[in-house]
Amino acid sequence: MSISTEIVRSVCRPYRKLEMKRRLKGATATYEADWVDITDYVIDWPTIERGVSDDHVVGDFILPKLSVTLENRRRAFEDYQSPFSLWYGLPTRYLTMFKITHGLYAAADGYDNTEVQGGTFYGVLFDEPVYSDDNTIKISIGDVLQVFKLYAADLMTDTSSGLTSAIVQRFIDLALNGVSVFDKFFQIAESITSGAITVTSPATDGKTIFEKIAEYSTVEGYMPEVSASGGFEWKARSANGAVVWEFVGGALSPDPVYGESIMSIDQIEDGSNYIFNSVNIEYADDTYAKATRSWTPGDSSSYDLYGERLFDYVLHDLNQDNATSFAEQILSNNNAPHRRYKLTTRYIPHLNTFERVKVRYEGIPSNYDSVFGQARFGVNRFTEANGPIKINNRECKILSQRVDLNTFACEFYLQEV
Amino acid sequence: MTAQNPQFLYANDFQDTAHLTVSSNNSTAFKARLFDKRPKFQHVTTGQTGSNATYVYAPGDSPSISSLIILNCNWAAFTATYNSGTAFSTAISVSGATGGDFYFEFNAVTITDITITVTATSPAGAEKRVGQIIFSRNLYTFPENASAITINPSPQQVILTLSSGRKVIYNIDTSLYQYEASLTLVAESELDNITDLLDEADINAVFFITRPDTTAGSWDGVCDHVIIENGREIRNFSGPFFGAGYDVRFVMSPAGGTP
Repeated sequence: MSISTEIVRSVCRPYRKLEMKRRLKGATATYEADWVDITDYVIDWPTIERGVSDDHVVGDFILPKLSVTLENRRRAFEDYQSPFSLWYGLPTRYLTMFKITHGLYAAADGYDNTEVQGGTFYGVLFDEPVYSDDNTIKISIGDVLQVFKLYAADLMTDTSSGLTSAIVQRFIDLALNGVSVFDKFFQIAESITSGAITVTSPATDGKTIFEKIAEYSTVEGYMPEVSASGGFEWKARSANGAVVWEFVGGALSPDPVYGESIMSIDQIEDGSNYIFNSVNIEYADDTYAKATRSWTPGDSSSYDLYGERLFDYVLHDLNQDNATSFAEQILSNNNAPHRRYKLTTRYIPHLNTFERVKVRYEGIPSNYDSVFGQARFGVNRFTEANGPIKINNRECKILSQRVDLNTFACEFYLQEV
Repeated sequence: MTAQNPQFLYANDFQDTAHLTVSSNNSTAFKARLFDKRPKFQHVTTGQTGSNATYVYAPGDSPSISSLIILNCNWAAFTATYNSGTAFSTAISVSGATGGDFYFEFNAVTITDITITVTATSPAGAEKRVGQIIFSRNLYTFPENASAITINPSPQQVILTLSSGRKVIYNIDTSLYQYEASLTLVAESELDNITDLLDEADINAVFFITRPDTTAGSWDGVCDHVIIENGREIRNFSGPFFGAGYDVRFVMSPAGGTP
């Protein structure tokens, strides 16, 4: 059985689990060995969002922060000083690790309670819980990547130059007095895609490790993420692999494999708002590497069609050659529009950011009542209506996705490739 | 001693981790899992796969105890004694079990300590795991004519509408439920006992056991911490031809959480 098989059924039985690992006392402040299931306490489930934000420009990505409401009638979620607390006798609740897993029970031969996993989210308690006298407590679970915001980049003593990926690896491997800072936050070893650009003298500008990783992600066109297995990943934003899902909906017949999954097409953008065809990278004070092309009015170039769209970025970790490479990469990736689609779908929990998908949709013409009064009698416009939207088997990559664990509806933001 | 009528017990006498000493993983945080009202939170020994594990309960005062409940364990063989080795009446000595839940009743005794010794697990050779240990005594047993205990789940269902107009149904696991107790033709004298039960339930969550079977390892009842929600709706007199008495109905919900 596979999650794809379960997704397309007309009656599904989803499961959701919230588990936690509390920090133990000790010099290394590691976590307890086993995940503790606290699903029964959950009153309101979060929406899990991953990928890049809707209005993202180059390098931007979502750092999810989930809000979960828990039953607190007996004060189980008080801080560690309370004997009623689940943290009693342990250190602070702060940075307690949480794992949310969700998916569908297999329905083969009747429900047999076999879990077919769909998605996993790893987070840490990052903000103060919000108490309420209505017997609940609201906790904010930040993506595990938030922990990189807690430490300054200049904790890293090796500031020699190297590929961006090598520097990111150094951050992940950071140890103080021989004890790893970040190992305990990740369940498996990291996966870091090799970079192409060398940076010099990193971590000397007072930024956090998170800010530096975000900068290098922009430079390489990469993105950090936590995998479904709980490991740190640094991966390319390009569409990867073969098509893993086909979204079908509207007047079209359901696909024999992928069924019908689209609830609505919420937005279609031509992508002209995200064009950058003139790039300035400041790699030293008032010193720039530029990427642009010559053009002539009327030549149908990006400049002729959309005007000059400027992208500015400051990163003093680069020399001139590497800054130029970075600028050229931004230019080549962003000087033409790519169509984008925002869809609301049924529960499709297993897809990953930047995976390749297809969209097929044919809108159903509105009934006359909804548009009557906008048209002229005698003009035969209604009878020939063929639907307001047609998306003809377009291949896209997933920019972002939202899974609402209360309603099981999903949102996908896609960009044509 | 085996009682089959639905039964209420007082709240767990075990309320303070300092009163329990475990032969392994004796830290406060781990022991707290033994009185949390969610049996899924297990205490797990460390390094006791080949040796006996002991759980010694010494509350410091001298409570009267007549029930021992062990929930969500992997124990195959164990004994329980009180006051430095005295056997209960009926004695508690289990072997050949396959873990799960156990319920024991015995003549009420005043204890200074209770020692549970676990000698084997199922499967054999594992660390000893147990979700909850409850030391208590009987509060109220339903009269013979208790007519029904029903568990009313509140199923959650989400229906999504696809773009073609077709519907997709998501049946979410039932996580909300209530017990509804219904007694008919209760004698007036019995109402006082029920009032005592409700008074106790006002102060403490109580244990509710739907079918308290003391046959080791074969317990198919339900044991839950509950609060009684509308316990005052108890007096509706009815007098049909075959008898007369009061109808009593009340609703219980799981109490959850720590003691």
